[in-house]
Amino acid sequence: MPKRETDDELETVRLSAIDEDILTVLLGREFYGLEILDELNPGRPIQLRFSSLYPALNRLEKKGMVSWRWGDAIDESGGARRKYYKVTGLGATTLRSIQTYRMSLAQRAVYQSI
Amino acid sequence: MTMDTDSRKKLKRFWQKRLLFGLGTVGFLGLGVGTIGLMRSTYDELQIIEGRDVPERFYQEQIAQAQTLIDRQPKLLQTTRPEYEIVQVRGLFSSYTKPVSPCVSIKVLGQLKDPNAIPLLGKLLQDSQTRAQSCDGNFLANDAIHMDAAHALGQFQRDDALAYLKTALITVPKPAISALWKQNSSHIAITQKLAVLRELGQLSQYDEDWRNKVIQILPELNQYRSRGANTPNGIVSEDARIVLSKLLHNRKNSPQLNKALIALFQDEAVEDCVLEQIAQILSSEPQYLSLVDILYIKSAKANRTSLLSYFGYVNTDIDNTVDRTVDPQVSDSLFDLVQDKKVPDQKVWTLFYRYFVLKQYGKLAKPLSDAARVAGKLALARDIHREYGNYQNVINSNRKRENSAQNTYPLLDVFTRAGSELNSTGSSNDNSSFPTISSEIKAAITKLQELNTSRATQDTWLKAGNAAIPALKSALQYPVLRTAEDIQRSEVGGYLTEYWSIPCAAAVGLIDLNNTDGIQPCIVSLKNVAATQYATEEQRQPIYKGYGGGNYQMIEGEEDKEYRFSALDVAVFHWSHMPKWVEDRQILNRLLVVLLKDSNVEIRRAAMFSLSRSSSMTDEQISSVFSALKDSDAIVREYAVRYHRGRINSDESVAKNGVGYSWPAQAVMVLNQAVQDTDPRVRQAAKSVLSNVSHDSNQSFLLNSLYDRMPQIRANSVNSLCRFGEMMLPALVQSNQQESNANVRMAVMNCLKSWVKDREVNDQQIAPALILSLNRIPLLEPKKYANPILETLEILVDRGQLNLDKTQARQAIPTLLKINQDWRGDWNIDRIKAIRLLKVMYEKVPVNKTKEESTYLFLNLQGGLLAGISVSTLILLLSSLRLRNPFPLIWTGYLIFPEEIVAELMALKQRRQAEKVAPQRIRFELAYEVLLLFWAVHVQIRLDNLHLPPGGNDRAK
Repeated sequence: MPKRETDDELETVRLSAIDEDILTVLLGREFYGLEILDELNPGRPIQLRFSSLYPALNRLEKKGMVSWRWGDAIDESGGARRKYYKVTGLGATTLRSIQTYRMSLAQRAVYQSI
Repeated sequence: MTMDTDSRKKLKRFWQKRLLFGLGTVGFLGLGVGTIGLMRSTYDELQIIEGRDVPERFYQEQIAQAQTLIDRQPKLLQTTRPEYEIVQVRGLFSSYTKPVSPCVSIKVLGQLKDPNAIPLLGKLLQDSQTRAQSCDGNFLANDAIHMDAAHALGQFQRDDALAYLKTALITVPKPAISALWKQNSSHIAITQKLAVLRELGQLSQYDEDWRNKVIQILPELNQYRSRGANTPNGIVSEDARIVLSKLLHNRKNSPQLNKALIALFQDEAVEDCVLEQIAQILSSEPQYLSLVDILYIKSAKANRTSLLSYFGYVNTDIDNTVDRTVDPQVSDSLFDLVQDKKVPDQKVWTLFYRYFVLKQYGKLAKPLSDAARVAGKLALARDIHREYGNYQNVINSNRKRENSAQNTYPLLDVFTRAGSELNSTGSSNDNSSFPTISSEIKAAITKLQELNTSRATQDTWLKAGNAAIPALKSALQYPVLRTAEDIQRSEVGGYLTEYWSIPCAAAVGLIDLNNTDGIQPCIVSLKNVAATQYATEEQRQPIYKGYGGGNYQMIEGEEDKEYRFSALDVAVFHWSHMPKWVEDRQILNRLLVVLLKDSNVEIRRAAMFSLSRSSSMTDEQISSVFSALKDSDAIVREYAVRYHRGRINSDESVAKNGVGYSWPAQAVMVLNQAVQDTDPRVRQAAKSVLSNVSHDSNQSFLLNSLYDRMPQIRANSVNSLCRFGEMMLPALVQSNQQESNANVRMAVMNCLKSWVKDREVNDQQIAPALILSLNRIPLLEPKKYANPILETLEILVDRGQLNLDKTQARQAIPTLLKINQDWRGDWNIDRIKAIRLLKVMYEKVPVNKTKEESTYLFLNLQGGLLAGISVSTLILLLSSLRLRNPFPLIWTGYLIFPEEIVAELMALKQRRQAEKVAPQRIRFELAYEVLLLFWAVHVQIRLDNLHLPPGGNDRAK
């Protein structure tokens, strides 16, 4: 789990692997549930379902990592609308910091092995 | 159309209604099932009430049927009919009988044991006699009715029934019967009289009149043959046998009876088969033993060959007869017999041999021998004299030992000479010729075999000491039979037995001197001869299927040499391939005991297997078997366990073989250890053997085994515990209550039956246990399982010991009614028993009019309730089906999921439809997603939210 020593605000933020994957997919884009699954599942060892996606989206939303907006109603669904999700600034910063940390970790490992 | 607030409400209302109707329907259905259960028990109650008159109705039907059919019976005509025909149906059903005669009804009246039938039966008996008398004693008319009425009356232990039978007996016109006996078909009338006599004899109150009557007709016994038995060796009828048993059983010997019996044995007209029956009955009663002796001698003088051979097997048990007092009349008769030139020597000799073990006869041997010599029967005189020596050996084992030892030394000389002869003639393994065996050596071998099997063998050889070893080793120089050609040549020359005997008899002699050098040549010969005999059998069947748990069968063409070798070992030591003398003389057993210590496991297995099949038991053998129980090989241990099968119970076997009386307890102890063996086969074998052991020391094992996993072990344990007697009753009854296997329950029932049948067992637990088992009769083969229960209950009823309370009696009634109903089509004894028991059970259940009326009322109420429930359920069901969902099914999702999830599910559905996936698969996939989402939305997200910060994207809403 990444830990940023310089930023107190992000010190408590914890992301699971699924959360990271979802943030990565949504970075710079806006998708609804089924589209997120379409992006995530190709090549994934264990396929994600709605039942895993929605709890993760709920977590990310509560932590302020993602935001959403209502889309158009779907035909024959009695007017039910989709939610379109996108990454917030906090979400993007957190994701980048984790990615930077991982990169530095990998570089250290490479130097030590040389 | 969109889902607005009104639509949401409508949808909610629809589902609420549907849920309500659904719950209502299920509730009513449950209520209906409960009511049906209640009605069923009330219906059973009703059946019990309405079945009350079943016994009476059945009884009245039988009386009416008997009366009608008897009236139709033609006078002065012989009734020729089978009593009932037996119809054999192969397959699921066993044989059953069908009534085809009026006499069946009469028999049924007897079986029912209803006292109301006695006057009717008495009248039938008298009527048939009156008819016979009016026809000059022609009993050919209505004979069957007469006989059956007598049989039926015999079922009642009552004075009035006895009176009818007595009258019938007295009024039989003897001159008329005597005249009839002279006719060819007279056996029918005699059978009638026997039937009456038999029934009188069955009653406990029969008196001297009856006995005198039987004695009077003893000379006529020759006529007492079964119907249709026209051959000279025909069978004495069952009636005659029973009459004789009753006459002779537990009676003091009376001169009148002795005289009548002796006259009977001297009467040439009386056939041997009749006398054999009498001899059999007499021999089982100790007070008649002297009479048996006399009868035997009379029979010998009358030259009754078949009778003599029969007598030869009677009372030859040494333990019981050795101290018997001999009637002076018997010894006088024996002297007459010895001197009678008409009686062949062989018959006299057989007689003497039968008695020579008696002390008194031993004393008579010398005078008898002298008498035979005087009568010119020199061979007989010599035989008696010689056997007298044997008699002394029987009663004085010390003298036997001396004799054996004295006989040993000359033998050693013979064998030494035989060895040197062989050395001078050349190689013992020369295939071209076999040495001739002199008569002297043959005699020596025979004696050696006898010595090897005597109890004093070891003493004998030890007395001979080391001097015997060189002589015995010389004997081992005889040719070893290595090939089939060797065996054939020796067989053709008539020396096979001797060639066997020499090495093996000498080997056992050496074993006694703790020298096992000789065992190898003996074993080689035994193996080769056994293998040759096996190979020459017409059909090469597997030798022994069970060896090694069925894995070691001898299969023709088997490639594996080791495998064949194992099977061959079994063949070698298998009894069927052994020469006769090896079996008889127990020499093989001596060898096997040595082989049990062999280092080769195959040899040990074969030896233990063979020992387990041997009938003999010696201390040496037992100690080896105990050691084999600790063998490293599981198969050896398994056969060591199996060795004990059938031996521990047999006190006779233990005593006969001179094994210590502490052995059974020791055997039980070591077998209990084997129950804990590491190998499952050994454990199973030990359990199987122990479950059949009724020794005192085995009681705790048997009691535990009543709850064993294997039904067979449980059944065996029940049978074994049964032999301990009624003290085991509580344990058996308790295990029977929990018993799930019908065969084990039947074993318990058969045990109870045997106890109750033999003696009066007045225990409160028996009848309830019987009723419990009666109500658990399996559907398959119900008669087989019901029979012992019904019979035992009937015995208890007859003795007035049916200890049942009202509730227990009520429990039995439905099953008895069912038996009566199911077996209605067949006339069989079980149905009559069921009817009779039914009557007894009803007597224990008092009539309660108020309760009966309330039962009817209760049933009607329950019926009404069930009807109401049915109508209500139907209405609810129809209403529920008529409810129509005003919106598409997927809209229902609004009631349980957030809007966006409904939209996603809809999108998923549309995508799948576009992909042309089968509708069934789409439905399945959606249902699966709905289930998982239900969990995720209502459980997982709610739990997550407990530790997540509040808020979210409120603006977007």
